[in-house]
Amino acid sequence: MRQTVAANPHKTGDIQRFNTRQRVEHYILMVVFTVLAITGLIQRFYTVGICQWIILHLGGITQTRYIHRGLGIFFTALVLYHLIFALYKIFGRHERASMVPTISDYKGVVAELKCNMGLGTECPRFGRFDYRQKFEYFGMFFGSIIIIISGFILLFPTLVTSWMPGEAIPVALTFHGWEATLAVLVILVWHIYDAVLRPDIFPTDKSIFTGKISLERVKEEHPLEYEEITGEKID
Amino acid sequence: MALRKPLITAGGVLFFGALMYLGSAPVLAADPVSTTLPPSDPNAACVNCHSVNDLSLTLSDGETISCYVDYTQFQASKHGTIVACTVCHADIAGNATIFPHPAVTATNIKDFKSGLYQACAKCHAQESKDLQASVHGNQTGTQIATCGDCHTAHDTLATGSFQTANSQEQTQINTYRLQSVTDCDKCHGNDALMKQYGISTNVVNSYLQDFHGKTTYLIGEQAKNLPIKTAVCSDCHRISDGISLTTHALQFITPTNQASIEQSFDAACQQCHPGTSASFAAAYLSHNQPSTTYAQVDFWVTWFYRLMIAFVLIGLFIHIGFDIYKRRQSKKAKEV
Repeated sequence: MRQTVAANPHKTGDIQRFNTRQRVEHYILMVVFTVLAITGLIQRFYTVGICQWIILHLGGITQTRYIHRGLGIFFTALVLYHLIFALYKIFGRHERASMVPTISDYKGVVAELKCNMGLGTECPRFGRFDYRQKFEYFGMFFGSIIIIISGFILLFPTLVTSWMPGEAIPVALTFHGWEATLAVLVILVWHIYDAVLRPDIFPTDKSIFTGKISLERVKEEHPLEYEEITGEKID
Repeated sequence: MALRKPLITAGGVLFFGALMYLGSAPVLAADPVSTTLPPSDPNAACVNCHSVNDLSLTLSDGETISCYVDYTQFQASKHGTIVACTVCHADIAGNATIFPHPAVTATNIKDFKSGLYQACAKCHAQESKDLQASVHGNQTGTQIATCGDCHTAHDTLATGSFQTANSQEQTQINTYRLQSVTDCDKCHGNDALMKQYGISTNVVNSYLQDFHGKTTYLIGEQAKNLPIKTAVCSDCHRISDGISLTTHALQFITPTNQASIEQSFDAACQQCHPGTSASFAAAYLSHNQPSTTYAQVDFWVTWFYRLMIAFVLIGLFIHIGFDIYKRRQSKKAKEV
């Protein structure tokens, strides 16, 4: 994606932010996450009228569970694929791990809040991904690990209890349900705000779907990345 | 087969009794059931009166018992075509020609029930014996649970495995398994009653929060006669009476029987989950809620997430608030 910019000497217009593989991955994750969240939460809160309505219209609790389990296995494969590919890119292709949080990200949180409150003299400047995006990404990643492990304990209780104490099952269920609740709340509150409702991008941040982002936006939201790809210093 | 003889006797007695009644009781002639019931039906005489909806009896302790019998439902029940009224209501059998029949002598509901359900023992000897020796049938409190509390007196359905070849019986079994949870809840969800025995009333609620309970409930919501291929109360709560594992023989857990009851629970799991270890049975938290002293890991994980969710959401809302504020400010600055 860096090449696109090099070939764009005017420093205006769009550059490529996400490649096709990443966009397809986001599409798949979006659908899988939504369906898993719905088919899971309706089981967790099955006494609520709307949840029951959905369960019954999916063909009953047994069918709902099959859909949830089947997609859960698919989701596991997706996460494993992502992990292996990311590791390959970092260690095989020696690409920069732009998603990995650094010390400056932790400083960024405090600096950003101070800046927003008008306390700081200097507002933090971010690179390709800011700390909020990294938080979401790693929240999603570690959340997935918890969900997957607890999900497999729940899927194979007989096997698991042959070498683990019985309490592993209810504990896995507690982890699974709460982690899912946390994930759904973060997505609903933050991701939907950040990528859909935010005034300057409403009705949606298209860059994950088109793969493109305008250089003006890069300059404003990812100034360090802008400087790096254009070789131009901002102020 | 043992039924046939008393059945014929009772039927014969009732037949003539019925003829006499029908000829001499014009008051009841307008009743819808009695007009459609042929006099040849051995139960005609009983049904003439007991098909009246608000027919009831008040015992001397103030307890009111409904004396109404839905005869159509009775006929569809497991006993409907093979057991006549007076087989169970045997005190009336010999006096069927006397109207009104002898008054009920029991003064309280407990005596009334225990007297009446002696009749079940005539055919179901082992079950009755188990029940009478069990925690349900042998109680010092004001109540006991007898056959009819679970099986009902007149709408008795087929019981058994959730998989049988006979489709009509299967439907009855499905219905029975579904309603059995509600039957248990009638007493086990009653605070005043359970207080007498020091038993938690949270048992049905905690069952409904669990995997099996959710399944049972949702299948019931889907359709009333689907197979409940998941554990209902009686699938786990069954102990050995020396012959087989049965719900009729349930006992309170005491230090002496604890080991054998725990073994029964393991065996109960294996009915549906063959090859499971003892720790599989321990996966069920025995209707208890996690607390600081019980299932602590579960308890602290829940609290960890509650605090975590609160922390994360507060953080995110602060960010959203500031973000909107900042954007407004910079928009204003641009306009100026």
